[in-house]
Amino acid sequence: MLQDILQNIVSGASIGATYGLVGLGVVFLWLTISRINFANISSAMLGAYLFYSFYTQLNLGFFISFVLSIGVIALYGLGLRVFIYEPIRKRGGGRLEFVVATLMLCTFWLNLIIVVYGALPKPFPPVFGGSNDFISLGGIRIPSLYLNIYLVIAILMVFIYFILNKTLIGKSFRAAAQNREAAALMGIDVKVTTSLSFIMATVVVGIAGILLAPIYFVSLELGGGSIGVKGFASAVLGGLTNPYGTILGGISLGLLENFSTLYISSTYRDIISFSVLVAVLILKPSGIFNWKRKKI
Amino acid sequence: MDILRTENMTKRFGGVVANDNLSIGIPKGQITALIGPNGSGKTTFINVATGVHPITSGKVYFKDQDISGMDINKISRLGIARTFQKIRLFENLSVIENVLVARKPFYKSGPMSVVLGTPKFRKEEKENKEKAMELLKLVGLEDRAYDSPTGMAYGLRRCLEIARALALEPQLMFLDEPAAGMTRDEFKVIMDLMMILKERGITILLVEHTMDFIKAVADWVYVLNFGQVIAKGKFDDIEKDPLVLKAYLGED
Amino acid sequence: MKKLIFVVGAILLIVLFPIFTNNSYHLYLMNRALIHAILATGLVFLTGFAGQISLGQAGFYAIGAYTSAYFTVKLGMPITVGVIAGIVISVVAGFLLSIPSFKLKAFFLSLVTIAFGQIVWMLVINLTPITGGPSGFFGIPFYSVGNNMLSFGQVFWLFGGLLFVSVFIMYRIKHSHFGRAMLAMNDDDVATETCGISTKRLKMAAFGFSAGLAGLAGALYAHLAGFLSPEPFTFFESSNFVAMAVVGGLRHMSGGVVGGIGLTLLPEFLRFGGWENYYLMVTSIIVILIIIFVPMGLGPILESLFRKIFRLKRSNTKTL
Repeated sequence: MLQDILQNIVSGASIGATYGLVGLGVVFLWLTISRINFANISSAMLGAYLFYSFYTQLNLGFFISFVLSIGVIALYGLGLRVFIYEPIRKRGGGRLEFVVATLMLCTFWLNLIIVVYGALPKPFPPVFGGSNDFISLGGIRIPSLYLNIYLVIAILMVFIYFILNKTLIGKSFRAAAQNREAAALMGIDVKVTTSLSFIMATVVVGIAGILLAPIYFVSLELGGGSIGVKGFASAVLGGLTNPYGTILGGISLGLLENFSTLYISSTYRDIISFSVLVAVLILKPSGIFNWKRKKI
Repeated sequence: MDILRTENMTKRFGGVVANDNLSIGIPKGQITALIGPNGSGKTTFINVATGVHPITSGKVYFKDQDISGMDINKISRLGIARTFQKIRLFENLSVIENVLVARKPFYKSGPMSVVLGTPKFRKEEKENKEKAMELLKLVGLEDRAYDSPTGMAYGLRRCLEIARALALEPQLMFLDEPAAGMTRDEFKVIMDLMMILKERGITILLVEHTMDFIKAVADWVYVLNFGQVIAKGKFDDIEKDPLVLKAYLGED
Repeated sequence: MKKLIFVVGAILLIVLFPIFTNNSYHLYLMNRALIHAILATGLVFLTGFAGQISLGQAGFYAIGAYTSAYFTVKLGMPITVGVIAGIVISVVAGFLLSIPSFKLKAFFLSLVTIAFGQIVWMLVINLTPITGGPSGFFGIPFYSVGNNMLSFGQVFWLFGGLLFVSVFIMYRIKHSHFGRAMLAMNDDDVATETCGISTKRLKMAAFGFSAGLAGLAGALYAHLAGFLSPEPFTFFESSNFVAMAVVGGLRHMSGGVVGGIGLTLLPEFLRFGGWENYYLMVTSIIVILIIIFVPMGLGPILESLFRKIFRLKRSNTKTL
């Protein structure tokens, strides 16, 4: 029993943290342009399929495959700004136009993947540890997969912390969020900042896709509404502005899901997490894990 | 007799106290001015009294009825209308439609008679359009009834906002800096308009910075500073009050 | 006058369409298009006029469909009763979904509506005794008068009539004190409240109306298709519905009709025009291009074409 609980904590928190990464994609865009990219989750699917192609189909090895996938995703993020966001903004389209355009983009990517790879899930190479790899820690056996997910996310978070706090990017993000014109006057290039936020948003979700692939397979589910909404939920728990709160939000969501599966029923698992999302939105839309920070 | 009075009205935004234990009475049928340096809580007073901001503590009475905590629309329907410091018109509606929006509380037709287009509804629509047209005439906008308010001159936009407020047939009107940013001529128009409203028996509470304006129209003046009343009385007396002078000069 | 031409034109189109074709697939497709037009009209009302957003419209669509199916199949009621029950329950759900909109705007509201749609969808899958779950709900009766089954052509007239009534109701509401209040609310919540208007009640009404039309559409679909499975009720359907309203023109009376019919037929044209592998992809690209380059939507463009054909002048006084 204790074994079960501990294992659920370990797995729930690690899957939850990847939901949090998906949420970070929402947060980075919200910080700079106050828009929501509903094709946010597509980057996860693209990341997983790209990695699958580079690693399994082209045999390029883990490191090169990973870097190439991230590179392509980054280009895609830039394209999102140049070909979707800016044209809509220039022609006077508002939030809703961006919402619908990105929703359609989501459909587009799903169908493109079906055309290119087919609709059936593909096995993800066991680069983060196979199903039989365990590490024993004080009597509990932890699948090394989850430990590796923790490792990647920890490195990523340190990296993000560094970018947001120790470089000009964090400052320009905050300035652009508050006032585009003022930011421009302060000598911050709003275009570069916007581009960077699109790139960071897509890349972080792309990495989340690669991390989720061992659990969900390289499948269309990675680009579907279910995980997408969990990403949104994490972002909302972090108040849409707090990157670390978003990860915490994702972790709590993952834990909640795992324990509702354990104690209630797996069929209603998703309903429970959605209900929590609605409750937070209605009762505390400013977020739960959204503490005040002096700087981003 | 005071048409509106507040008892220890307090409004806090986080740690900032915008209205501090205000107990103010607005005499019926007169023009009362609320003045004070920037950030002294004048606009907050209007926002709390009209329900736009929820009250932190204390009470607001309108004709001896407790209205603190009521919904904005309910307070408006009791007969309190307002304009906004930064003009807020419905840009997607025409000028006359802007006025007609505020006539909605007077319609009795339900959705059913609207869909069926019953004679009762048509009659109501006609009457309210006439009423709206009358108000547009009063503020001198009858020629622009079917134009969009977007892009109209600032003074005209302000007049339209006042016409919209009047469409509610209010007993009390809050005017938040109606003369701000106006030319000399527009200024005169607003001033005349206020005298007409006063003749019609509408009580007015005015927030204004232009002293000439207040001197010309206000019967009674409250001076706010840091959310508290520091002086009240006729304009001529207030003008000489050392506390008031200090509040205004101290700002510079 | 303008109104009259529109009415006559719409009636003519509806009456004439089945005469041109005997192909039952084409007729079935047109019936689906009309159903989508009804639903998208509700979204134009909700989003374009009242300024609220719903990305969970497939939820109401499902509620309407399964309610009507349950009433007719399990309770043995006539189709009319089933459809009305579907509408009523959808409207009630719409009222409930409007409650979050009192406080929430834009993105937060859209998330709540997504969650609503997903919750309904999961209920459809899991409440097997009522919905049949993933294996489907079979044996839903087709439209009939007495013992005579209606043909697809006759169903087309029925749906066309219902669409016409829906648009007519919306037209009348828009040009009344209710419609003005909604447009005002779309511009500025607080200013609308200071005009003595309860925006809460308006939001409830707007959600209720659009949910009612979505429920009607769902119920009509259930009896047209004869069986229900969870697929047409996913989040992606919800986003397609919103796309229909946007592509047709959110601020436009004809937006729902143009978008609903257009986006139902476009993928089919593509599919049979040699794009069978890519038609969904191409459809989404076309929608994105329309949103970028024709932000007003196609409705106004079609209307001005219409006006040119009939040599109508644009009336320069705004109708009230």
